Amino acid sequence: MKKTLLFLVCVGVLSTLMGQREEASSFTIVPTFGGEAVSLEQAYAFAGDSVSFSKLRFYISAVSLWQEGKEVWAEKKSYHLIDLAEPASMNLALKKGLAFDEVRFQLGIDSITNVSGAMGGDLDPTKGMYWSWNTGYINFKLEGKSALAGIPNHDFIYHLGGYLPPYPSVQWVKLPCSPAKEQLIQFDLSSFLQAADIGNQPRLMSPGEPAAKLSAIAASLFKMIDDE
Amino acid sequence: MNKWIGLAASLLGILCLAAGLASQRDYFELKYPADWPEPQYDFTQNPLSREGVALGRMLFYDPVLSRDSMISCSSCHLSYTAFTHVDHPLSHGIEDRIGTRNSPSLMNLAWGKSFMWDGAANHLDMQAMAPIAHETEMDSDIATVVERLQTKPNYRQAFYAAFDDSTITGEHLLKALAQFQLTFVSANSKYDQVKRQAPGIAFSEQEQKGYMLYKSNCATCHQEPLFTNGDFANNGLPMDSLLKDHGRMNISLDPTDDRKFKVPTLRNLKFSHPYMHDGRFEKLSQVLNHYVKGIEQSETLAGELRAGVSLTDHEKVDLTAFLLTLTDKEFVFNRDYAYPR
Repeated sequence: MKKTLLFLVCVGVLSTLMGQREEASSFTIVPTFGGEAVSLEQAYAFAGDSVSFSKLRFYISAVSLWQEGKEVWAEKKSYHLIDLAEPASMNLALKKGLAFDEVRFQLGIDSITNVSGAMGGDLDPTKGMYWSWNTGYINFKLEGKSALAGIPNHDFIYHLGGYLPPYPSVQWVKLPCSPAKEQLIQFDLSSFLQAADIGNQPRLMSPGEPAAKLSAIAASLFKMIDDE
Repeated sequence: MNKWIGLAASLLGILCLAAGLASQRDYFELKYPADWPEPQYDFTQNPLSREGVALGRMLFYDPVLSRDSMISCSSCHLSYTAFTHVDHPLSHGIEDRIGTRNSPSLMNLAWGKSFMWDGAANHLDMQAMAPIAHETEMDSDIATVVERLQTKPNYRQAFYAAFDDSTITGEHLLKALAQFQLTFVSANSKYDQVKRQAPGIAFSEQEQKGYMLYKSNCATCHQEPLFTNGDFANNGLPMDSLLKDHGRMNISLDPTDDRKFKVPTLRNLKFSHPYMHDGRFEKLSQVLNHYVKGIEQSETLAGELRAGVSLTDHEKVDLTAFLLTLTDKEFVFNRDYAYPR
């Protein structure tokens, strides 16, 4: 009896270890500017002058994998705070061993989660991605400096959020892809800045139509990088 | 061999005991009158426990939540005055900075659909974020508060007792505060006793007349038994030229919400003066006079008020007598709500 028990325990331990050794496929978000991968506090040529970024943080949620129009996997408790200042957060591990041709996720947090009270982990309000004055998640934050943003500090600040109709800002992103060990998703900050129009709108920090519009544009800027 | 099995068995035994102890939390359910509607709050996400409520109470009375450690929730929300403070039209916070609104009274929050005068907080858990961060209230931020609490052994212990985790998080801080506030149930005023036909308790003739007047003039917005329908309404207050407060529209961005504010409860209004979102009326008589003579017509004015409210002086007295039956002394003097000793 004792030997059987010991054997079963060993089998249990070994199979757990084996399960862990199997690597999940993963996605890495790569923000770019002018074609190169962005680092914080680095100057890039922009609008006859330069631009630098001090903060890029956003939520990715509701991650799922699809094959021929059918969902083959949906991540449970799918909330991720992607933060350029935390390199480990830029990579999302996914389930391996599935055939899929599309990944879907939301840029931001859905409206139900927004009204469900205090949450933990990446959704903890201490993460600084929650509005205190108008409760709800800030889906996307981009901050930096550019001469276009005017005095006194040349700061531009884009905090995109809001879940109430008629201007909800959470957006779906759908990207065609094929299973490989690691895949790269580009997020083009050059196009984002152009759409944001720093000269006329250097700061956007409340829900509303401008935030909803800019969020839709942001969602469209995610693109799979082909690694041929 | 037997020695090792014995050791393993003891370890297993200790683990089971520890697990058992950790879940020995004293859970309880909120008590309220049988004829009240179901609470709005989702208790499955944050079940009430004595430990959670005790922690929430510690936090509610602790000025550590503010930047200079001088302002606590109780600075504007005193249990003895129905969890508001009197004699301040606009509430003041850190460094005597004056805010733009009067602190609302707190009671029966489990039935709230949204919180604050403009419904800026969509869930009770998240409401505390606003005063903590507001520069005229506590001028801090939740991450700083959590950091400060983490350095205090009594808090680490209290968080462990309430949530099985001595690592303090924003989520648990907010849930503990919510748990304490959820216990503020006011349901034992004279009105409540009359409603449940408590022996020997009855409205006086004046109070009964006042009750009828309330039903025909006030009951749509200030609906029984909570004495609010939890919605937003424009009750005809002329806009303050300095504050220029657009109320609910600030949050919903909907022009049809302009100058609408949360319908406050009428319960315990003996203790919650001054009245309205900016505390412009010190006395109840001024409130009644506003409804009778002072309503400003506008596009978003509540439909019920368009034709005006007519009350004779005698009727105002009767109505006031009824409103005073909503006073719940047991609520305001409840030691469980007061400063923890």
